[in-house]
Amino acid sequence: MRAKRLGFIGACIVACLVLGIFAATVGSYNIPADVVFECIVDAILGREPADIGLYHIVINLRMPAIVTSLVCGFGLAIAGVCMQSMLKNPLADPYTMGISSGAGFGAALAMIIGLELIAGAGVVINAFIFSLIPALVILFLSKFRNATPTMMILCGIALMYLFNAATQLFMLVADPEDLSAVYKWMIGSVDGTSMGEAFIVLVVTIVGSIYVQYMSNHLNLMGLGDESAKSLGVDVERQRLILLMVVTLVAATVVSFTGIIGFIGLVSPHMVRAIIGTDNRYLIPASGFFGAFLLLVSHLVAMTIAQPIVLPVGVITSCIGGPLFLFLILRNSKEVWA
Amino acid sequence: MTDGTGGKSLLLEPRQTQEGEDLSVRFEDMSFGYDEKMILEHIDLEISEPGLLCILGPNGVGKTTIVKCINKLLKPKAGHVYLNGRDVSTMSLLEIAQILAFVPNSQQTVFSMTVPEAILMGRHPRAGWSTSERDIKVVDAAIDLMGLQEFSQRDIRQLSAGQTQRVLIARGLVQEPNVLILDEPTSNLDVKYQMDVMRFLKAYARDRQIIVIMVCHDLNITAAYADRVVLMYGRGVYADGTAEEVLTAENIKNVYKVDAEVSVRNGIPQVHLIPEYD
Repeated sequence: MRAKRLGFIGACIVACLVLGIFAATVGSYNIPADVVFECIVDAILGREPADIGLYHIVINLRMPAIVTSLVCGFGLAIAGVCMQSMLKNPLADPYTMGISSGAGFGAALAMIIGLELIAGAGVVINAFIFSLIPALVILFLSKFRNATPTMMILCGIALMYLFNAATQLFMLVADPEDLSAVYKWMIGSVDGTSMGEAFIVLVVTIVGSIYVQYMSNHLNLMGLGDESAKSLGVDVERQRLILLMVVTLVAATVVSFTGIIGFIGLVSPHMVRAIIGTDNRYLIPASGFFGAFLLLVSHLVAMTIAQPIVLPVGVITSCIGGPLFLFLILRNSKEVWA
Repeated sequence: MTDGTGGKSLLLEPRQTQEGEDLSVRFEDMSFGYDEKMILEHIDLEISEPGLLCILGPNGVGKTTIVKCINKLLKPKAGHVYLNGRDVSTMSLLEIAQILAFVPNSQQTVFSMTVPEAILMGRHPRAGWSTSERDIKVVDAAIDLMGLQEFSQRDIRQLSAGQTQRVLIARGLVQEPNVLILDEPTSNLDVKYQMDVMRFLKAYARDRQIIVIMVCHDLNITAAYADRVVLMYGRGVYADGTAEEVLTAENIKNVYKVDAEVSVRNGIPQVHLIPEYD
């Protein structure tokens, strides 16, 4: 079983690398894979490229979206798997915890009203700060009202509706140009992010993932219920709050740069659970790499399906994720889900 | 259920005693309640002899509450609880779990988990991040001891209530505890398994020289196997002693409000409840 789990993680990593190179070959101008590979090696080693034009297309135009897809897919999936395990709820993900809706509201404030929490910092900071509000409310409830995992997720859903309603209210009074920008942001897209922005997401995701992986044994125990986990030595309330803060930061960072990309955080952990089981020590990295792969596939489809128009990746994740999820539920419901 | 032989003996070895170690559970003037409603008041109780101790009493008297105060699942309103001489309020949950295993009455999980995976969780307080060869051997031994071999690849959510209880007991055993607490571990077991589990727990406490505390309801099963019986009533301990001392017709009448005849055979009291008819 261990070999199968490690093999799956390895296969996901290889798939991400291969697909990453392939994705850089595809676009309005097709570039051979060996040229793409050379450009990447040149960029890593800081060498003078043989063809500066192709180098610019691969490294400056295509790679940021590819790296953003991989990093954001990883971050969303890690947040999803951690939320599902610690709240013992298969529906927990950055969306149902209100993080995405909070970010959407913050972005809408900046785009429509022009209200920026940090002047000049625009949509990203607004989205980031507002996406933390649901988590802060949940933390407050946990601390002072002893909220159970079920109360936490219900609170997240309530805040999701609240933020969505407020965003829609702003959209009603928005002019068509702002409305279009907000709408595009709400669907989620990996285009337009720079390598620097992808690097910020990468750093936050790596730090968050290391902590979540370190706590994977505790997440396994939390799956047994609070009483059992405590009697096996886990300070459940404290660990849950810390984990919630960490994964909220990861998800909030991702969402603030890309907009609301649905389904990756929810679907990736469930798909991987159906293949390698529920042990979080393997499930966490496997879900991360699978989420990265899934978002990159979605990006590739979004780029090519309606060429020359590039669709927002959020449309594709929902189109691919929905039917795949349904298929898995029908096929594996008895084995994997209660 | 099988006797401890072969690989199973891994879990039946006498506990490792350390110099100056004080194996004990002690309640000192402990009270517990929810808001204004008190459940337990001024409990003074010391358990320092290895053996099987059964806690009896009517529904809602605080049997489960008192045992949950030992491993900090519940926090007393007043007084202290000491485990091996240390005040549990100053101990971390992990420190407690390295000494004490708690077996709940039931458990529900959302995600799938095989029987060995569920039992392996019990190794957490003693194991590192990864699973060692010894962890696997100990889990196998617990599966053998609890007679769970035929369910070893089954998802625990597909087990019956009785099979789940055996998995939970196995999880408690792999913690290799010095104090084992069980909350009505035989409530969903058939008569044969009830007797097997009780016989095993009595031998387990004796052979490993540890304290086993069990919350139970069945007076005759308790009388047959318990080394010590604590009868609870009216927010406190009503009687404490051997089964013969505690399970008298008078005590049963006062605590359960039921008429009973008690006869003693081979030193074991046998309780015959006298039904009332309208």
